[in-house]
Amino acid sequence: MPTELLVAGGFYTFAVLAILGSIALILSRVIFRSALSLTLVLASVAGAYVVLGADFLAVVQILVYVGAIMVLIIFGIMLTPQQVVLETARDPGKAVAGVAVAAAVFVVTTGVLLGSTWPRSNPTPVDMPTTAILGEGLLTTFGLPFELASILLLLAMIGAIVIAREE
Amino acid sequence: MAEVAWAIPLCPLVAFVIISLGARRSPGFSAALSIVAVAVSLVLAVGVIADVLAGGHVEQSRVWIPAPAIAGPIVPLNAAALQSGAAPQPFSIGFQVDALTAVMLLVVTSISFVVQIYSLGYMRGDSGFARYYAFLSLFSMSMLGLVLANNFLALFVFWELVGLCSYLLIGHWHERPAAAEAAKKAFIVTRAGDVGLLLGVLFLYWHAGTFAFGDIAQMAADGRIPAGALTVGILLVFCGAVGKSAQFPLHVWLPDAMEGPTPVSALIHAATMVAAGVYLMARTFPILEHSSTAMAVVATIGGFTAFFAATMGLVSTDIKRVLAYSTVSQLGYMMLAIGIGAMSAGVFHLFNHAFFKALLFLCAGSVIHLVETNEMFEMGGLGRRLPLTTITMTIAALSLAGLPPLSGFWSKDEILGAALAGHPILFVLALATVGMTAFYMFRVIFLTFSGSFRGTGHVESHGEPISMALSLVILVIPSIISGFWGMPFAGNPFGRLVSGSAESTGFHPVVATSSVIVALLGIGIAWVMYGGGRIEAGAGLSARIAPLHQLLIRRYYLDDLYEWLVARVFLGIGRLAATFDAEVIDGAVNGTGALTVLIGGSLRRIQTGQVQTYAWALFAGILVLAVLLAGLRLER
Amino acid sequence: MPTALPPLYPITLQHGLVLGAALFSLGMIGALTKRNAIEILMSIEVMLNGVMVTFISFARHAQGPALGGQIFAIFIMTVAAAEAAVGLAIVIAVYRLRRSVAVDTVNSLQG
Repeated sequence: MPTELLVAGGFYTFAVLAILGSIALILSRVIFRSALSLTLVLASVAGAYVVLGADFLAVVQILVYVGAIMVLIIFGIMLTPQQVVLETARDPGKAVAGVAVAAAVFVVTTGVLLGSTWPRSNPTPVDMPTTAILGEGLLTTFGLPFELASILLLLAMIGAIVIAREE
Repeated sequence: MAEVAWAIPLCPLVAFVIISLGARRSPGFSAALSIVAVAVSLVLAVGVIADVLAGGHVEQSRVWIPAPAIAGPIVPLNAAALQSGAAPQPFSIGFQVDALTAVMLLVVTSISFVVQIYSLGYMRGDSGFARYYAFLSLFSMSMLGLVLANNFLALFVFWELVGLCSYLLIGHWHERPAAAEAAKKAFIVTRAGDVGLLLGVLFLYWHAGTFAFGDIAQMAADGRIPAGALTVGILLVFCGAVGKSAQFPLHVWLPDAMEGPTPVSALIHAATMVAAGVYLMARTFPILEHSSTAMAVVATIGGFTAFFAATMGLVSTDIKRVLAYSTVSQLGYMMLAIGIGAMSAGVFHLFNHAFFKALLFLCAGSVIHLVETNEMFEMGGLGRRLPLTTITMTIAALSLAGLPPLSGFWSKDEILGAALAGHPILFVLALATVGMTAFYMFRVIFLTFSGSFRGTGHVESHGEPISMALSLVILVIPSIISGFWGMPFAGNPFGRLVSGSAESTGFHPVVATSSVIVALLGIGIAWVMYGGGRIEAGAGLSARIAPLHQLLIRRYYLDDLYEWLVARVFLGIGRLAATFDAEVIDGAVNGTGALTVLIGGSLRRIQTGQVQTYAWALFAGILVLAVLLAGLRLER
Repeated sequence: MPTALPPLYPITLQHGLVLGAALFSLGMIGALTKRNAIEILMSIEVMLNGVMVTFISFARHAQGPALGGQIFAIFIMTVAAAEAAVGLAIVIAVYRLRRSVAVDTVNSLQG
């Protein structure tokens, strides 16, 4: 049984990395650097999953997000070359408003989340393997969403091809 | 016969409709139709008189609008009327025939008949011949309907119709601007009075819950109408009479109305329409007599008008204008009589006056037809050329002046006698007016018929056309003898008939003598000044009292006052209202539109077209919702 | 609002929730302020990750179906993948048309 300390340490590490990564994403002026920051965020989140007791999901996160979606995004960056730094014709009000709303959302959300009393229950152990349970759940309780998700992926594939092809 | 009195106005109505619909193209047929129609009405009217003399009295009504459906919000609102059980009556129209109505029917139909015959000669060759007869028929119908009405509502309808006909007939020669102006003036001035009449009618309805004359009179007699309300109501009704009968201060339209054809002046503005005001006061006398204030007002205005109009007649040079002032003055006499309580005397004077005044006008028309001018200073010496006219006009003038045994003497004597009995000031005014009347009337006679011709231009000496001569002869007979009907020596059958009382007025030797003396005095002065057609004396006198003379010529500047009033005050108010409408009301409406555009324009900027803006708005909205819900949750 | 800050140690439900909220808000900043469409897509991915963290935190403590939170997170990931694919396809199509992917130039629906 890993000590709570280990869990705490891991969590804080990955949390800080993720947050720093997203800050870097926001502040970066070079789009490729933003992409790399995103990769960092995704990887850190994967680590956080491990510490939060979602081992299967952590691996899937790496495979799908970092492996596939990141590649897709970098391809997108490559196929839309622009000036590395865009002309600054932006509206400052927009930035302020955006930050304000986001900050407000954060405050309200954390306030609500921390202020509510969650029903007490025994948390499942962190190192419990989740694959079997997930598989069982996906195929029994969540069978319909599972099938719908596959249809959704099919549609997305077709859609992306149709939208992006040359006329 | 009295039961079919409703047919009397129907005949001229039919004539009017037929002429308007197509007979206009055939003037001869139109005239014939019109004359036949009014002749039938005349015959029926005679039959009605016979019936009434034998004691008949008819009143019939039909329900026109059932009350509860309409009179809901018009229920008499004052507690007294409600308590007295005055339930809202259904609006009904009907007619009544009593002595007063019978007399009026006779007057209107007979004079209408004579005038229409006269017009055959006078209006020969006129381009609007058929239209003229159509409107004459319409007028006859309206006037007859007016005297037959048994309630205020029906009376008001016919009242307005009569006013309309007056407008149409004064402006018969509408290409002449003076005639068109005069027609407008007549209509507008009488309208001012009619507003009062309408208010009075509604006011009385409000307190009495009914329009019928008889019912309101009954309620007034029983004391069910509060005294103040009664006075106000009947005085408002009197306003209408002031307008229609050209009493001061609404007399200004009648002298100008002489722009119309002379037969029209004879019929409408001497004998019948202007008498409608007097008739109205006589008809509402049972209501009027319960308000001493109103009676005093009526008498005062009547007496004052009589004197006032006579002063203006002294200086006028237009033959028809003098007759117009004379009409106003005599109508004042009639109002005076009604105001002091001698209703039957007033009606008797109306009866006599209708005949001799119509005759005077028709004679004047004969003169004008010959010399083609109204100015007396361009006449003179026409006695040889128009012998019949001279004789009949002189007889009528003597009757107007009040010399026995002609008709005017008897009715004037009755009025003066009643005035002396209780109103000495009014008696003095009336007596002075007698003198002035005699003077100006004979001034006209001498200037027109004696001496030598003063005018320019060639005058044919062919005498009067047959139709006109016939009319003059027909009318001179009642001018002489109509007074005998009301002679006190014979027990005054007329007065007893009309007033319904059994006692007759007595003969007043003092009054009679003084009035005859004053009249002769007036004639004498006129002979001295103008006899033989001399005009120097008159001119000299006018020069010496020039300011006074000017005042009278300019009709006491009342016309100027009214013109100022209308141009400055009323039109000013109108302009103010128009500005208010354009600026404030239109401004408000346009402003609302502009405001909408402004708001729309501002709100439009939310749609930036950028997805990020919309996303931001989305989150901001969610935030607000979350805060609200969280806040609500916390309060619990 | 009585905010009970969780103790630093041990890790509880609230820690995960705060992390999720933080990632969500930071991602929102990027989504609302960036000009480049692909940067916006990246920020949206960050937001989605924040949400997933929240769900996974709940998965240990919730009383629903077993590990329901994690299963939901799988679905989020599925949808995120689909959305990234389609989104990038759109970006490429727009780029082909206008030679630029600055979102504030795509405003033809402006009223």
